[in-house]
Amino acid sequence: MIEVKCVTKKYGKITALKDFSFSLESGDIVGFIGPNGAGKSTMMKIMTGCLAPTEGSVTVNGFDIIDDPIKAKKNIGYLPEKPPLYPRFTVSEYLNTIFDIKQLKVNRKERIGEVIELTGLSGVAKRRIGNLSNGYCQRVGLAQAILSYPPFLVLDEPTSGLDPAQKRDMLMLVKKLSKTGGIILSSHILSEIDSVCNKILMINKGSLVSFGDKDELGLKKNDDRQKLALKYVVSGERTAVLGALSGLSGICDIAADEKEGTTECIITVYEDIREKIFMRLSQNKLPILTCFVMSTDLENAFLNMTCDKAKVNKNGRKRGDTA
Amino acid sequence: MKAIFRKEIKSYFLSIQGYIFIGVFLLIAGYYFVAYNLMGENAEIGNMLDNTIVSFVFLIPILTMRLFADEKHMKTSTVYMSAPLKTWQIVIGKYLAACVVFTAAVLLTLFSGIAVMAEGVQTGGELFTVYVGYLLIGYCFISVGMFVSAVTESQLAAAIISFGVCFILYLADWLGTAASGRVFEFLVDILGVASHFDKFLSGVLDVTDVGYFISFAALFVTFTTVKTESERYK
Repeated sequence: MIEVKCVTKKYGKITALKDFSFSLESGDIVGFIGPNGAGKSTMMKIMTGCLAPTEGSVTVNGFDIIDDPIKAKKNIGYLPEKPPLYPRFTVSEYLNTIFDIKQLKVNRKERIGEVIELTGLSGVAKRRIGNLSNGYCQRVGLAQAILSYPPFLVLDEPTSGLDPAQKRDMLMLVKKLSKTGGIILSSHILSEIDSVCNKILMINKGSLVSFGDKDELGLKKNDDRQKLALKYVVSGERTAVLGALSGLSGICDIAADEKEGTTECIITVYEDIREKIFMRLSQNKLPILTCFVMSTDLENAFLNMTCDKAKVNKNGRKRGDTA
Repeated sequence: MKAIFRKEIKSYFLSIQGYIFIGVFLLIAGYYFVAYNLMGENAEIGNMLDNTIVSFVFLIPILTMRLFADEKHMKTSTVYMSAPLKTWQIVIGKYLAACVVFTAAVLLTLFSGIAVMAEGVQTGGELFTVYVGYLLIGYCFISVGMFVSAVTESQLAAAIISFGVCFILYLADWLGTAASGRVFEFLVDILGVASHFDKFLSGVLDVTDVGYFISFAALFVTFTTVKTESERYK
């Protein structure tokens, strides 16, 4: 387990991270999201021992990354935002060098061959890294990170610069690797995080905003800005349903659609007012056939938790956003 | 440490730096050998070596400028910063690689030394002493160049600053004589790397001078280790 305890990082007078705590367990794929400059890369550098925290500690399988760096670092593979590659080396030479630097005690040829195969580098193993495309460079970066088959992987934007097919391959590979350990990966593309991660770690201005299972995230009450989406199927006409719910406090938005005598509506609410909705509809003799809470999508949750209230409109989008 | 050493040696010869260093150094050494020993009919290799020390001032920065500056600029320093290695192992690995390339270049001039020795003026022991002193001066300059490389992110800046510092070290005794005074004498004693070579030239292997060179190099290797480690705390 990687345990980050009360980590604070200051660059002179600027505080990049404030009292940051979370843990990464084996089998977890944690999506690390936050706006640009929020402190994601700094946190990842601290987790891998490239930077020391000003306060707090990071332990990897019980070994402190600063006090016991050798043992701690043996348990971590790190792919920084810009893969650390030597352009004059061939892929094979580079991986051999990393093999030596990590002081691995396994069969060299076998391990390098396996990793080359796993990351899809077989066709370029003898080519110079400087002549490879971005996609291949990213794969070589990932290959160096997983070369020791570490229990934990820290991947800083592993899909940046990749085309859609390469992104899909990279994410599939990440999913595959999670079977043998824990992974934390940062990305600006929330759909990617949504597709591979089971936990979400949200950061804003150096502080932890939210950490937990992806499914729980939308339901977690962070503050009064948090919204819930409720889906109802009601027996009755659309106008009757909308009329019954009009004026009910706590409703943010209603989208309703009538189909064969029933109305399906998605009600976005600021707080859980299911009881009030039930009372209103029953008073108006509109039986509820189905009701369930829809989890707020990741993008909505991200905006809810990281943007100022003033910047979020009723649809959960930032002002100026067109999508 | 071995892995970093091997990586650095490989890097020197995958790029042009290793070849430039050895090539230009041999060219300069060859020129002095021809001018002093062959044309000037001088049977002591020390003259040739003493005159080539000035070439260290601009050649050694070529050897050391990329050691840390390039890694920081290319962001490849994460390879060793996140690796299960102690900082001193990284520094020593890099230092030894630069020293080995330098030693290889110097040893190639040994053919001239052996040829001159055949004249019978210098003994094998004297030749050995001169070469030991010569190598030790180079190792001192390398330690300074490596430290300068660790404090900057630009190879060019590293090369220029190293050139300046090595130039001062080379000229320290001359500057001291010109300025005179006790403070300067003291500084010359500490900084005048080249002046500590004089006894080696006359075939005397003085423990004090050997100790001086080793301490000098060790000091800058330590500075580099501290500087590299401090990168984590910036």
